[in-house]
Order: sequence, then C-alpha cells, then structure tokens
Amino acid sequence: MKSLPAAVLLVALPLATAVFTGCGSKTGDPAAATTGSIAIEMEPVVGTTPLTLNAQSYTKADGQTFTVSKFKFLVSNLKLTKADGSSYAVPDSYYLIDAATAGSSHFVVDKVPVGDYTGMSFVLGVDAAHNNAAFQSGPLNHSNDLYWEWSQEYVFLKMAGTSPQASTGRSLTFDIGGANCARTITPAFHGSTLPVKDGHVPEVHMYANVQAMFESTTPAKNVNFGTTYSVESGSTWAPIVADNYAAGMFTVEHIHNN
Amino acid sequence: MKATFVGLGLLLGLASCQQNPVEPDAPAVVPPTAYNLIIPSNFPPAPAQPADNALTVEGVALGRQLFYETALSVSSTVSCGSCHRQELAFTDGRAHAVGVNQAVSARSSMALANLLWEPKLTWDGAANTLEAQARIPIEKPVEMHQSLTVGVARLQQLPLYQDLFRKAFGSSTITEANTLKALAQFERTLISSNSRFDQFRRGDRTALSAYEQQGLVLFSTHPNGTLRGGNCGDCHSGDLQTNHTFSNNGLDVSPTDLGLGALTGLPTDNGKFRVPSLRNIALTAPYMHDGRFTTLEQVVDHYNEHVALNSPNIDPLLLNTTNDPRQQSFTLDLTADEKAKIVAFMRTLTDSTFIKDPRFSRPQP
Repeated sequence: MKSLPAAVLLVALPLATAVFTGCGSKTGDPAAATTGSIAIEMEPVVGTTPLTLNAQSYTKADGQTFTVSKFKFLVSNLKLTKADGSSYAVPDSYYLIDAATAGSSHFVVDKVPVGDYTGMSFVLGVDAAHNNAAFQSGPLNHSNDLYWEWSQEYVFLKMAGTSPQASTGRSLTFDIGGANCARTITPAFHGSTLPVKDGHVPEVHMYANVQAMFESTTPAKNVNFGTTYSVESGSTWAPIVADNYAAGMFTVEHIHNN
Repeated sequence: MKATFVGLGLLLGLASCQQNPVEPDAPAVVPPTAYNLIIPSNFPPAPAQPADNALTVEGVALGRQLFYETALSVSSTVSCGSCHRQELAFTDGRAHAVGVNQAVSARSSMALANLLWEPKLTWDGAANTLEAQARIPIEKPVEMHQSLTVGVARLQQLPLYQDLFRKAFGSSTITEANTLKALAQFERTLISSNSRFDQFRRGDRTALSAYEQQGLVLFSTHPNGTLRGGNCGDCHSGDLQTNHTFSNNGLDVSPTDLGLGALTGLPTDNGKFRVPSLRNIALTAPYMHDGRFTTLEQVVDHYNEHVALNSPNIDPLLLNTTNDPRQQSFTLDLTADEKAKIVAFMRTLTDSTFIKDPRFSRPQP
C-alpha cells in the first residue's frame, strides 16, 4: 500500500503532461495542418480483462486454465486506410509491445496525413525484408529478447506461463517466429472513423487478447495444453498459433476522438 | 581577428573582475566538459539516462575517486572497489561479499560492466538507476555501514574533494545527491566490448576458433529435437549477454533467499533473480547469487542435469527444453563434448582490455 501514491503519481503525471501539451502546443497554425498524430494502444488482455502477469489464472473455452509470465510481440508495417480505398503506410513502423514493460503497449504515430481513416492493418512480426537484415536499432534491436541468433531471424511473439493441464512437469512456452508465421492483421473499426487533424491526437484502443493464441473457429486449430505446451522454431504448431492470433487476438475496443 | 578576440576577452575578463570581485577561496566556476562516451558498434544504442546527470569528464573523474574512497565506509577500510576489483571484472572472487568488520553478505558481489544498458540494478532489482543503487552498499550494515550524510560530511573535510566537486558540479559544498551522481557517472563509463566474442561479432571471423564457434552455436540454440543446443541464449541473449529479466533458474526446491519476491512481496516472484550478463564470466567465479558454483563446468552441469524442476516460479523454459530427439526428457541432455564447447565459448567473453583499462583503475594519490 505504501507504494500506491507513487504509482498514482507515475500514471497521473504523464497524463497531465499529455493533456497540457495536447492543448497547448498542437493547436494553431491552420497552414501547417496537412498532417496530424494518432495514438495506438494495444492493451494486453485475456478475454476482455487486463492481463495480470504471473498471479492470475485464466480459463480457456475448453476449460483448461493457464497463467502468463511473459507476453511480448513485434508489430510492423502499420497502414491506415480511408473509405475510398486509399491508404497511408507509416514509414519505418516497428513497435515492441511487452506486457512486463509499462507504457510499451501505447505508442504515438506522427506526421499522418489529415483525413478520416476507416481502417488499419499491420504485420504481427517483421516483414521479410527486415527479418534477416543486419543489426537494427530500436524495436528491432537484437537484444530485445525477440531474436533467434542461430537462425538469424526475429521471434514475432513470445508467450510463457503455466497450466495445470500441461503435460506433467511442463510449462507453457510459445516462441512464434519464422517467415511462415508473419501475419497481416486488419482489425475492424466497426463503422468508427479515426479523424486525423491538426491539434488532436485520436487514439485507437485495441485489445491484444492472449487467449486468442490458443483458440480457433476451426476445431483442429485449438491448442490442447496437454499435448501442445512448447511451440518453438520449426514446430508445425507455430503457423497454426499464428493463424489463431491473426484471426482473433486484436479487436478495436473503441476510438477516442481526442 | 584572433588577436582581437583574445584582447576583447581579456578586457571583458578584467571588467567582470572589477564589477564582481571574487572571493579568493572560490575561484570562478568553469563549466565541466562533456564526456564523449563511445558506444560499441555491435551494442544496442544507449538507453536514455537521467537528464539531470549528463556525463562529464570531471564528474566521471570524481566518481572514479569516490569508487575507491574508503572514507565512505564506517571503518575507513572498505570502498566500492574492495568488492568490485577491476582485475576480476569488478567482482571479488568470493561467494559472499565481505564488508566492514568482516560482515558477510547473503549474496555475491555482482560484476560491473555495461551497466548503462541495465534497467534494474542489484540481484533483486532494488534500484532503477545507478544513482539510487550507489546508496545501497554505502549504507547497508553488512557492506560499508555508514549513512551517506556522515560520508558526505567526512568528504567535506578533505580538500581534494572540495576541488573535485567544484569542478564537476560547480560547488565545493558536497551533497549526497552529487556524490551519488558522480558514482553513477563513473559506472556508466564501465563498458566492456573488446572480448574475442565482440571482435567476432564485429566481423572478425578468426577471433573465435572453430571449436569456440561450435560452442557459440550451442550456447544460443533452443533445441527442438532436430537442432541441438544449450538454450543459454534465450536468457543470456544478444551482445549484452542478458535479456534484462528476472528468473528462477531452479537452484533450490525451497529457495531460502527469495530474491525478487523478498522485494516485491509477491509469492510469484519468489526465487527469481536478475539474469546477469555473462560478460567476463571466466573471471567472476564463484557463480550464482550465492556463489554456490566454483567453476563454469558446474554451472553447465546445473542447467544440464541438476535443475530443481519443482522449484516455485521456475522459468518455464527450464521445464520444456531438452535435446532428447523425442522431446520427452526432463533434462537438457547435452553430451560431455557439447558442454565443454559451451564452456569454451563462455571463456571468449573475457575482455582483457577492460580489466586493465587505466580509466577504470584506482587513481594514484
């Protein structure tokens, strides 16, 4: 309890700063209003509940339960689309979301051409052009615990945890990567628009649902922890888990027209 | 032109002297010089550092002096450098650190290198910055056992420090904050990047022997029934040789030292300790937070066949990783030859330049 006020402050201060800079410095000059900024939140959840690492047990649709000690992934090739079919590809868009790192699920994209966007897409993982490239900085830095040295490619998503239904004495380790696992994801806006204009930072708030890794509308793609608890490079289950998260992990919860 | 400017400067200097007479014991303050920290080309970019403590030549020099200063301990016998000896990659060769009056710590002294990139310091992550970390050993009863308030008062009596603090921070009045800042600055300069592993990573394919390269492949590979490996690199990853997380590596069925759990109070953190960088690992024996293993061979044996699989909060990777082609075994199942190759690779992480670098050594009186 002692640390609570500090935690509140930590949250409140950046919020206050964001509000002030949002009102103070971004409004104004209509001549410069050809681009604006957007914010994206990819909030790690299980179902619709914010993910709590380690301490919380969750239940899949088939009744198997699990905990999560690690959940992190790479996002790239962010693209925004308009109703007329035109689109804006955000250059050099690479993001690392790690449930263990506060704030990593929230990022701001600047210099987006103004307009009303009706959809978006992104790659969960790293595009082929960069997957085997030489050292990259920022989210693609090889020291981010998402790189396989032996095959020289990125791990797109890591999940680790426990399940009492895992084969006796085993844990859950899902390290998904490799060219056959990159997936383009297009979460539906459900009729909402993302209005990009000068002086505002609208935010797309998405859920990134861990549980979606393990469940599919195709029964054969459902993950049974009793037999499938360790999915690594080369596993036949890796592209299946990628299919699952491509289909169901990301949903747009709402769009704040800030 | 040059002469004119010099002349003008002299005039201005004279004018300011006349207008603002300066006390003879407080010479005009010269701003410190920015320290040019070289980031190795094979390393990640430097993370943001505290904005109020930019590295300066004078701050680093002061930090170095303080690092070796025994007046910061209650008995004037122990400095940071007592347990962090440069020739041992800033460790002490002991299982448990020894402080003032032969007091023994529960944990082993950690190696100091590339701390600039560490988001959390100490075995249990008790400090988020090097500034905050520096206070812990100074004040801890089993280490230097002297409040920093007293330490600062003692430094204030030493003319050397009045001068060094004035040069670094613009005031000869010594403060706790500036003492911690200087120590942190010095520690941020402790970059180890010239091991044979680094030379190999920077493109010198001859820096590692074929045998050591086989060790590197085994070290970094996650075995899957086809590929063989020690899976060391899943935690000791990248050029920094750590993924900066906390992990229970299965030392004990019932850990007596709860590590991260003792700090957070969360049962799910019990038994977890910081994943330390393996840089200079051949110099930093004995190993683990309590120094229980005296050789690298014992460390590899632990991961290969002695992991306490029912230890609470054990890292999931330790339960799922094996070289058994059928993926059924509960142990890693490396061969003796593979284990020897991994040890040979770890010995290439020794940076003999770093341990002799005069910038990091005890300053001569």
